[in-house]
Amino acid sequence: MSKGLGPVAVIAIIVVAALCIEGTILSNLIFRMENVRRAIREARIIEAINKMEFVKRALLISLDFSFYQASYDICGNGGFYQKDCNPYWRIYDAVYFPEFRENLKMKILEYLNNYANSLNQEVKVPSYDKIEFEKKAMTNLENAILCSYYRCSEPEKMKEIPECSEIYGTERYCNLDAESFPVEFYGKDRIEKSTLSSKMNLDCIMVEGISKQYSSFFDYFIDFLRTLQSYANLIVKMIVNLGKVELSYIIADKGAVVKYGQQENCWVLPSFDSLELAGEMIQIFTYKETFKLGIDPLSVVITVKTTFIKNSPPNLIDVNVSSSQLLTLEESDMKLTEIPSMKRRYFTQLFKMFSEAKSRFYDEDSIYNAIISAIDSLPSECKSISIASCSPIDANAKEILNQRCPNILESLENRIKDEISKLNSIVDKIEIIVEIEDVKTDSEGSCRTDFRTSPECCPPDSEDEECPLYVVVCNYNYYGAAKVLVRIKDNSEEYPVYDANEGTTDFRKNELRFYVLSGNKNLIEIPTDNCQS
Amino acid sequence: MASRNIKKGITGLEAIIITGIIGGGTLLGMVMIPFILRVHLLVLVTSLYEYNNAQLSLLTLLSLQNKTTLYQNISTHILMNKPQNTEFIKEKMDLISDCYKLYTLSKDLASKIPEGCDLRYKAEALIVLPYNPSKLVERIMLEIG
Repeated sequence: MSKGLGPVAVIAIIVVAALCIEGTILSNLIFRMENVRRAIREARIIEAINKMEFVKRALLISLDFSFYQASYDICGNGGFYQKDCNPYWRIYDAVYFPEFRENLKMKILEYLNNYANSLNQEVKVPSYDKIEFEKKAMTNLENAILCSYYRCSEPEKMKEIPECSEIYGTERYCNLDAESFPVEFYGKDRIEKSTLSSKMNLDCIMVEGISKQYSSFFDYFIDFLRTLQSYANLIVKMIVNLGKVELSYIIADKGAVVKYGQQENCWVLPSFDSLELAGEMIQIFTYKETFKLGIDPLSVVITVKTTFIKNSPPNLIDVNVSSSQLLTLEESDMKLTEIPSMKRRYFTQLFKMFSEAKSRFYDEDSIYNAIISAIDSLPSECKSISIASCSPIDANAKEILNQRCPNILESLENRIKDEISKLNSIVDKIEIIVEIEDVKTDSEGSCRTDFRTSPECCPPDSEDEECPLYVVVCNYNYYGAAKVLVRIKDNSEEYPVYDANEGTTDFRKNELRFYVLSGNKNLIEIPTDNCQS
Repeated sequence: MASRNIKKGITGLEAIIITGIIGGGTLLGMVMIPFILRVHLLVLVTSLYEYNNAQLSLLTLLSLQNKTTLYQNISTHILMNKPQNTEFIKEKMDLISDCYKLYTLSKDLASKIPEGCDLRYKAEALIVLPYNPSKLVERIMLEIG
């Protein structure tokens, strides 16, 4: 009979085995707990990053809304910052031009900080304390494009645009067969090179949108640049996140313009070669369905030499805002911080509106000129009246005027109104409306009596050959003054803004409004509540 | 006899059987526990991925744009109730999911809930509204299946 294992040995084996099992289970549990802990932490980090992204996105849109609202408010108040006053740009000889750029900056910061306060919840959003404008002008871009086009196709037409010779000199022909012919825009005062693809280290980016009929290549190009340059990073994110979504494309029948790129779900434009190319691109955009357009940044060879023309207002503005503090998301075991600086580019007619207004109502006094024109147009027989009488005349200038030129002041008033209404005009997409609020006219006459003699004044039975003739000569000066409300409306865009008078938020056009009081005599009372502080 | 045998201990065969059972159980435990753990982690990772996807979907949605951003379309629609924006929002939402509901506390913005759609994942964010004196931000919720 074999001895076998003793009970102690059996128990020892069981204990060892149990310990092994326990060790395995425990180590697995520990690993599992650690993995779960890490996974939860990772999830929280991702969630926190997303929260931060939401706030950053909200802040960018806040800047947009703040810019729109500040532009609307500043324009509505004639460029002045303070409210509850009448924005006069001119009161007779005194002129007041607002520091609208500074006022606009202050307003933008004010509204942006209101948004920042509202967003200051889980993520701590600091107040913004610094804002800068970087102005850019692209006013003669269209000409530059036309020059580029004419140079290749209709060289003779280049003569129609004076800038063409400055841009291209005597070289008027180009090789249409060249594979890569960059569109170049040359500036007079400053040459700035920027390649659109310089910051995009990606195989493909996408521009998404609804098809739209552009009225000109210029409109399209501005839109394109704005979209591409402002939102490139966001577009990239969109592709990443929508990577698995099946995207539908419209195949352009102009296959030569757009070719299907190597990247999946991406159209590739080889480059902008000329206006011909652009012209065909416009046809792509006329499709009524949604389109998606991809651009290969490596092959886009647009070299933009931004054009600055002397005295021309910029229509692109880069708004940079920054804060001395950080965006912060703080939780029990983590802290995320981010620099809250933002930069947005806006295509705006704001500076053009102010520039037009300034040249017409500040540098020059169009209302005064209109009044003088109206006075000049009065009939000369009402400016100087001669009355000859054989009997003495009561030389009352006013009565004489009333007799000879009845209602002359009403006539002058109407003439002034007509002249002022001629100031209404449309420059590009900027509409200038002059609303007359008050017109006052006056005249001042003085008469002198000359004594002459005339046989006709002698009574029939008179023996005298010459009898006294009373000649009264009255000269009149006319005066006019007008108070007008100038409205300069930007018809190119509508923005979602709040109007305090209507008490609603809606899409509205920007409208610069200010008063002008002018004339050749102070006939209208000088206002005391103008905004000039 | 029997009591004597017990006192002497178990036989070698019995010991082998017992050791086999215990060893087998141990090996089984060593194999099964990581397997169970793997399944658990897979579920966890999947749910984490899907959860993040809901949040990312909302982030993506708010980043979509053409001339104006979809963000602005949504926020102007919330404040100004522009019905023409609804189709645009819905069109973009269809790109993101086949089963969704986008809403604020006071307004349904877009929804597509086909049969069998389970709106499991939810994300929310603060969205800014066009400037007005009363309310500048609104909480927006996205539920996707």
